[in-house]
Amino acid sequence: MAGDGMSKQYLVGPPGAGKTSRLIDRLVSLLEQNVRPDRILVLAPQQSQARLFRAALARVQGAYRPRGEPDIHTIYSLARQHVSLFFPLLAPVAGFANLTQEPMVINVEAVQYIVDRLVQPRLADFADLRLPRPHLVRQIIDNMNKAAVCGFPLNQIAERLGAAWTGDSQRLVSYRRAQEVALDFRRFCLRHGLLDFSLLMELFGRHLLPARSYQDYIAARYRHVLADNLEENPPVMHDFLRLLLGTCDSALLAEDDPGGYRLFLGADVESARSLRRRCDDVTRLDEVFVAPPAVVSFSVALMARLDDGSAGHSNARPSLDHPLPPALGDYPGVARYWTEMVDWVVERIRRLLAGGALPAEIAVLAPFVEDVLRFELEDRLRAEGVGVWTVRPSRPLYDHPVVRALVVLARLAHPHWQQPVPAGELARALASLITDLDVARAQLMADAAVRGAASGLPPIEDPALWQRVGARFQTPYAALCQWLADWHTQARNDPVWPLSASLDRFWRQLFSDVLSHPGFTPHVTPASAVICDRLIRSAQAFHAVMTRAGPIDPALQDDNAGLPGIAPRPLRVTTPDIGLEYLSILSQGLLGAQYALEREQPMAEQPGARDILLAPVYAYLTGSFRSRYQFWLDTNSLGWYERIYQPLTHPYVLSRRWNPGASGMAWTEADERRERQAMLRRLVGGLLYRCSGQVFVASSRLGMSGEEESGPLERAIRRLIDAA
Amino acid sequence: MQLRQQQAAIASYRGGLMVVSAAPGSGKTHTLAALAAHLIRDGRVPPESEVLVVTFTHSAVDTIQARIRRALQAAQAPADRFRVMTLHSLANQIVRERPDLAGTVQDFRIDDELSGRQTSLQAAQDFIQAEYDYWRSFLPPDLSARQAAEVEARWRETTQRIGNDVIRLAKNLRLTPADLRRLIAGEAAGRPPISPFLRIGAAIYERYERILSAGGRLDFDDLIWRAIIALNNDDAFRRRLGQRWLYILEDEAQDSTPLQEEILGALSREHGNWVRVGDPNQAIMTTFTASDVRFFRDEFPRRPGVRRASLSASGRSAQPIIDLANRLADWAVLQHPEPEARRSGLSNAVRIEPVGADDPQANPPADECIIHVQPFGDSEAEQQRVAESAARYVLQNPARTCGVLVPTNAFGRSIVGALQSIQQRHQDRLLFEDQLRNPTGVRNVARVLGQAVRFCSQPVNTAALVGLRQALADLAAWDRRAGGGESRGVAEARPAYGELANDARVNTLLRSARLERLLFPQQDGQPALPERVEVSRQEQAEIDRLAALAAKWVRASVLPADQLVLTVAHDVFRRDEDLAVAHGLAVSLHRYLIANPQAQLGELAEQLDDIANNRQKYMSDSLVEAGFEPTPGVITVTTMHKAKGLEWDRVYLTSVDQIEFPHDVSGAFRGEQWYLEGRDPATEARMQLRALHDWAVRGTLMPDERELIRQARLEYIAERLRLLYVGITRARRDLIISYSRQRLGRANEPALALEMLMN
Repeated sequence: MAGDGMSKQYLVGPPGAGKTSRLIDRLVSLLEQNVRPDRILVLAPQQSQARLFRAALARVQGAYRPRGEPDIHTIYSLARQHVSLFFPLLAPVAGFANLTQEPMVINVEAVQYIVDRLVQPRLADFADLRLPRPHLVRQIIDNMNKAAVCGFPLNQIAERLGAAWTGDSQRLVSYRRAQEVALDFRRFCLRHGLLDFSLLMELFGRHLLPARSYQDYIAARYRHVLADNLEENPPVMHDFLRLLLGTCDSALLAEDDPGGYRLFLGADVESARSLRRRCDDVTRLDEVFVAPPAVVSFSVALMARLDDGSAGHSNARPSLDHPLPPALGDYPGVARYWTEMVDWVVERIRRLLAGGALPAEIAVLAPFVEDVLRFELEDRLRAEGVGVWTVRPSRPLYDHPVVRALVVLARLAHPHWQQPVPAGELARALASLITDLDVARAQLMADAAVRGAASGLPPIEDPALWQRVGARFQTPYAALCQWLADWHTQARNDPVWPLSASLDRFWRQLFSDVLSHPGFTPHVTPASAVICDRLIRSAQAFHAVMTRAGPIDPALQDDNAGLPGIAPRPLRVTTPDIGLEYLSILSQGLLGAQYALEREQPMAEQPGARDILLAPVYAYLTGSFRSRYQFWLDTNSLGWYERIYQPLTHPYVLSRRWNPGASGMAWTEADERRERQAMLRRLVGGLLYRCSGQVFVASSRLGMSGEEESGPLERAIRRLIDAA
Repeated sequence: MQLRQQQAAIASYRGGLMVVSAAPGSGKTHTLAALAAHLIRDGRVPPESEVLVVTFTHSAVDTIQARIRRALQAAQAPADRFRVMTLHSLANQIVRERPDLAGTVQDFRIDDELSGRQTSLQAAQDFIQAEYDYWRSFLPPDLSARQAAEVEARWRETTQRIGNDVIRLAKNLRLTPADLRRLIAGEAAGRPPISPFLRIGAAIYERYERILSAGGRLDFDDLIWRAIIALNNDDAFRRRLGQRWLYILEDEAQDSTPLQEEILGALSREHGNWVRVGDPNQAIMTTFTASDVRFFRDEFPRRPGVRRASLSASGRSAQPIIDLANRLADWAVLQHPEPEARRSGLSNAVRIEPVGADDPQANPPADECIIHVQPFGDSEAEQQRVAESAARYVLQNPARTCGVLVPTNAFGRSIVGALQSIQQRHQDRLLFEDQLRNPTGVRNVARVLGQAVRFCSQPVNTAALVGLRQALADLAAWDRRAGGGESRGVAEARPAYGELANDARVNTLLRSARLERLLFPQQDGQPALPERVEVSRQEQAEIDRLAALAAKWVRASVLPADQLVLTVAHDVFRRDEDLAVAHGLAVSLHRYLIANPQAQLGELAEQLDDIANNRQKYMSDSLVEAGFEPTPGVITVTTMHKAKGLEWDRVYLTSVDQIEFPHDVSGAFRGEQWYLEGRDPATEARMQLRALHDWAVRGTLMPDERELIRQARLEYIAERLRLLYVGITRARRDLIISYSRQRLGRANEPALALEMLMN
């Protein structure tokens, strides 16, 4: 490497070419050259990748710690820290009502809640749409976030979308209405000193980066910069790097190609590539350490097949340097029913295990991972002593059985909510909280409990029952009862601590007093402890925001300055009971993946030693996994091919390179097709570069829910197989 | 593929618009499949394109798909350049491909038979509650309390039907509730007053849409409408799909709705390759759907450039039955006493002709054919004697199929009652299948799934486990009895659940079991079954098998209920048609859960039970759709409507009288309510909506109320003529037609058409 690593270098190559290793080597080498650690900035696309650098630091930690530590950030955590640091500078330009009070960062749940409240009175305005309200809310939030990370103001959203739209004019009205909600939300935040993701990123990108004093600050602060997976980051991150590249002593930037899977979060490959010009040299790494030649050649052939513009329809024979069999496991054809496909997959996994493969070497991937897939895999692999570890960052909290159980306990503890708990629900809650308790025994307990009291969780004084259920379940049950009773007494006697306002506190205390102890699932299953933690943090943040925003918000007519053309509307956010409101938003299904940029996971789930991996394709690609054996499921599903289509938002039109106002800016069928093909190629390439052994593909004509499926990936694979 | 001359002529189609009128049994599905295969074989379908075949039922999808594939394999042609879909699958695919254009999202929510019933019920109830006094004012004031309660209940049902009919038609005319409101409010000189029934329908429509849109849900008509919106919102998208589906072949086109015609028209706009195949004489869905046979039969063929063809040769029926059907058509066209019914009822343009004697599917011999008309004194006698005769027939002809076709479910239930007592004397074999409301296959599947879900909601309830076992055992027994026929292989019919042990003993054992120990044994070794009771090896084996299944399902009950149902289905059912029904039920439960997110397992079990016990309709419009095929030696009891698409060696057509098949607009009609002075509100509302739309769009004259009622009756007369035609053409060898001289407490006459046919 030139100049002892003191140049500005841009690395590009496929996954598995060793880019992250080079970044880590550079970090260690800088430290070894006695560079001041706190002059080094490391940027990773998400916290899970930031951990790799922290781990490397930990290995060399002893020698350098006294002189400070490098800053390891995602763009979100960096922006958050720096916006806080420079708040006095930002407050007046941003328009915060209170210039001295530092704004409170609000989580996605609270954003969703407030936007939902703003949307409710205007539902009739979206006359041409038919979609569940949470979707409407999500798209409005999505637009705000995209505008912020791409660097255009909120009041350009409707204009941009409108310029690309070719259909019925009613949609233009819907775009404008959605933008009005976004602007109302922004005013709400400014008035109450709330900082959501979009406002934070806008302050960072549009106000902080251009500020001279800030530029001076970072020029002095960071002399060396390392950044991984540029292509998974939004333009605002590239803007920051562009500034830094002008002043720093050294830089090592890495781009995965194929990549750009977080397009829907604003990731922008082209914007990343524009940084190449700011570097001294661009190094292309083509040698792949993960994927063997057979897989690489399969990848090339398949990507070429998807490239021909007809999604695998062409008759031309593909050229394969290597015969198919080593790269592609035996091909079953398209099964009729979904479970037949699962049967086949399980059978192949069994064979691999019998042949000496380790569970950890196996990944099962599908465009969407439903609970039933996990259940069927778990159920059938149990005999082999193999478990299933699922990575589903976008899974709503409420879908986790432990979360449902905690909600049931909250309902029991808050009888004034008047949400009685049926015995069946209580039984499932007990079964998911108490170690080794099955649903049948839990049902016996729940039946006795419901018989014993109209509300709450009564003690069960029935020796015959405990004899039947098993004495060892009596202790945890009694502990739960006692704790709930104590909680109730305490809450009733504490006038300054209203019952309803303390859901996070309720759960936190329940967790530390009861659930984290022997006899309860979170004690033995780290995964469920992680979920409890996420729930508590989410409820806490929600509570904090709602407390600051206050129960009723007066009309905002007086502070809509600077937002021309938008008629002010009265805002009324009434929060009769924060806890109850939280439960309602929770049960509607919270967002996950879309805000992975901001999600910081202090605790992460880890797979067990005998677990195979089950993940949605995108989670696998963005989570830096590698596997020896990949199973691609539902290959004929359109899910492999489609972007997420939503009527009120658009990942390409709301990107930096899309230029509103220019002629010919309509989003056409040709654009759509080109981008779809490109995305599918990136997907296929990305998966194969992460595979060190074999790929098995499986699909069924009728999908899991019985709908008929047919997609281009299956066709392309079949053609390749026919040709081989 | 073997083709007759007419079929071959149609299969040589190379492009353009074509309409094919096909007689019953003339092999239109066969011809369509051949046509698709020829287009592909002859290289007319480039690799990026497909032949799209649109059919009415899912089961037809499978049949046509298999036929095209076989033909292509034989011709060594590429086997993947075609798609067979129902209209709903097509619309679903279009919307799923670009939901943003359709104004919705990928995982859009659909309302179907199960969840939809609740929506329309709620909408009607909301209306009645809000406008009670107005609503009540339609009923006679001087009713006794008991009469009032009964009449109110019927008026309530009728009100719901008004809502359903208006909603369906309005959507097919692409009118939103606001459009409809404007249309009704629009004033014009000479326009007759708007019927109060249409106003009621419009008000229910508004409420219905509010419920659907609050949940972000679409019903099936919305789905098709949204697909059209998506096509209209991006012309390049529409053209791309047009390029993909370079040829469109439409089956059962006589039942096509305006939305269906619009969607297929939009897809074929550039290439114009659209073949429509149907039998106008079998259009019997107009009272259930928004279909209107006039477009297919009268308007479409007159379009410029439309080629007309016909399939008249049919090997289905014996010559005398063919003659009877043709005579009916001739009479209806030439001599029907209502001149307008001559135009709108049947067509005699395509006369059924027998195939040649050397045809592999030659007509049954004419000399063995029996056609018999039997009057009875009253309906009870008719029901009893028809049951006895049919039973005798299948006992003597175990290799022949036999259908008893009835006009109404109530009439059919009495025949089923009579057959049940005959069945008592023949325990060893299945004599009949009650296919009146929900098809037997659907009910059996729903029963097992319902019991499994119920047990999961009460996993320590021994009665629930016994109920589950009983449902599995009944299914196995039914499979075994029904499996005796030729159409089902014995191995295929073997139940997945396994062999059954002694019923009573196993049930007693289960009743005294500790289920938590049986399903989830712990290390303590406590016994699940009572000690000191001898358990045979066979009994133990069955109990173990049941416990393993039940435990798995209870574990799976943490999944969403629809996924639990799929898990159960794949453990229990082996036959394709059962799995298809189970899949359908799972999808419906999923939709039900979206509409009712708080529903617990017990409530879902009830929904399934309602289907099993015929309290809730499910896949009930067509037996063919539920994968039904007549079993030799087993009588099918069903309605004439549901018999469409099927055939039997012997057919009993019952109640062929003037109540069911009227011929005179001045008579009394079904659907007309005595308490409303003989009006038929749903039909009136529908007719006026159509007239109002035509008036607004085309400026046609609006008929007044009397004329509307007359037209409604004419439409009914016409449709019943077609129903009679469908009934007659179900018969292969024998046709037994009956009626009663006394019915519903009144003197009764045979249908005029029947009198004419007998003369």
